[in-house]
Amino acid sequence: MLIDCYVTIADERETVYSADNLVRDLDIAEVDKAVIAPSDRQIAVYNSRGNNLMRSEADRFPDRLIPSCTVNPWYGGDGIAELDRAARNGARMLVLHPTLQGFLINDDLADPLIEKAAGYNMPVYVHTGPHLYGAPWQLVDCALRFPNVNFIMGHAGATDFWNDVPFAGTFAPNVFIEGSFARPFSFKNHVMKVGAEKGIMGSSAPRNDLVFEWKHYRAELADPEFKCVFGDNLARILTGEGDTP
Amino acid sequence: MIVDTHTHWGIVWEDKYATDPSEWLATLDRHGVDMAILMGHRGLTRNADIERSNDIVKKACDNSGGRLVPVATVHPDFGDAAVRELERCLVELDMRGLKLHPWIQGVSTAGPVMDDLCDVCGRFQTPVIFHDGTPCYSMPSQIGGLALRFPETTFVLGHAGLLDLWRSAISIGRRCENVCLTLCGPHLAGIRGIVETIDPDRLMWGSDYGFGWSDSIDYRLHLLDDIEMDGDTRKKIMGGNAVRLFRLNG
Repeated sequence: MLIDCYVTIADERETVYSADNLVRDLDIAEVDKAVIAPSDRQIAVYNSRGNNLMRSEADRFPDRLIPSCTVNPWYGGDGIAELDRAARNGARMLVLHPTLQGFLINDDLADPLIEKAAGYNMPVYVHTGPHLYGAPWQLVDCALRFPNVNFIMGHAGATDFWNDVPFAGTFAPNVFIEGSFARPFSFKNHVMKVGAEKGIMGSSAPRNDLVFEWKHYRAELADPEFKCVFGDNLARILTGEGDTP
Repeated sequence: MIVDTHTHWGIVWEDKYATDPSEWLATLDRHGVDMAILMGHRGLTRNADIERSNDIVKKACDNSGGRLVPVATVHPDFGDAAVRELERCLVELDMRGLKLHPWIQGVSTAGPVMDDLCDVCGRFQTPVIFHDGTPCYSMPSQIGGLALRFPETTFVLGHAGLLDLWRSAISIGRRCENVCLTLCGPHLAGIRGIVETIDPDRLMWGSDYGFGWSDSIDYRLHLLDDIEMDGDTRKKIMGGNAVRLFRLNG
């Protein structure tokens, strides 16, 4: 099972990409599935609009696309209700973007959302990399408070937190490392240090070209020990051991 | 001709090969890269080795058969000594630019010696290449501030804002005609946005190769393959602009 952990479906700024084009690119890259995520605007403010779009687009390609959802923690109780609604509609991963949404992941603002996600056995994808709100150790600090939740360190702290990843990535057993933007030649080093079983492939298309990214990551992580990075690790936390996402 | 305008004589390379770039150049050969602008590494991180680092970078370039072109570094905290070292590098070693890395070096672009260094580079008509994209000392807007204050000096945003500040790099590139951008850091969509927006005479390609053993050239070289641009623009970005800026024709 080959799964791309993060693809944006949107129609504005640098993220113009339809579900049809995504499925076309998955076919070209010979990738089975992708988790789809909303646009920046929908992550920042129009959460419900984005969550509905992910649901409807995934419904068009139920064997290929896996819907995520997002909630801005500043919405408080309304945000909890939105996460409940999205989860009941089939969302499989909660996307948090501390920079776009304006909060610290190791503050307690998002705790109710994370607790709610835990109730749905939903992994939490956290964008990392931006300096104030995207430090890997901020995520680890949060993850240690929620040992029953699986967190995905989106972009592996790229660019400037690359040197934190090996220690941060190994310190919390419930933190996985996603490699989009980290570039294959750096991501391989991360995976070798944190362990192949914690690496997760993502393209962050359309900011990157999905086919190009998969080609280069596959080439860099061609050894059989890295096979799990390209889907099995993600499948395990999206569904529970052994299920098909 | 393809010129990689952002490479380093990494500490690991220096420790293993001293000033012999044969293996380093073999990577360029594998990818069809003709020349590279070579910056130091040890000199950026270990202040006491700056003069020696500049000499080593120069010797590595001398051993390259003309394929590597050296760039100096100095530490602004060294005051007048930094200015003298820069002048030595430009006059005696014929180095073709100054590399500053305010993040690693821990210096602000607002320091007084920074002004002197920018002034010297303006007088010598040699570019100042900045690491950029990293708060709180290496943001495109901060380097843009220098560019506004020193209009006779050419500044290079060595990473075009990286992943998070490439839109700021675009804004600075639009405002300051004395700012060049190296396509070495933003994702594909960011690079596409830069190419569509900024004067193609001020864009260059780079890989950041040489910091360690990883081969970053293949990915970063072919990242540009699918970006729509006319042939003349591609030639400028892949080497033509570097020939002019770094005086590669002699």
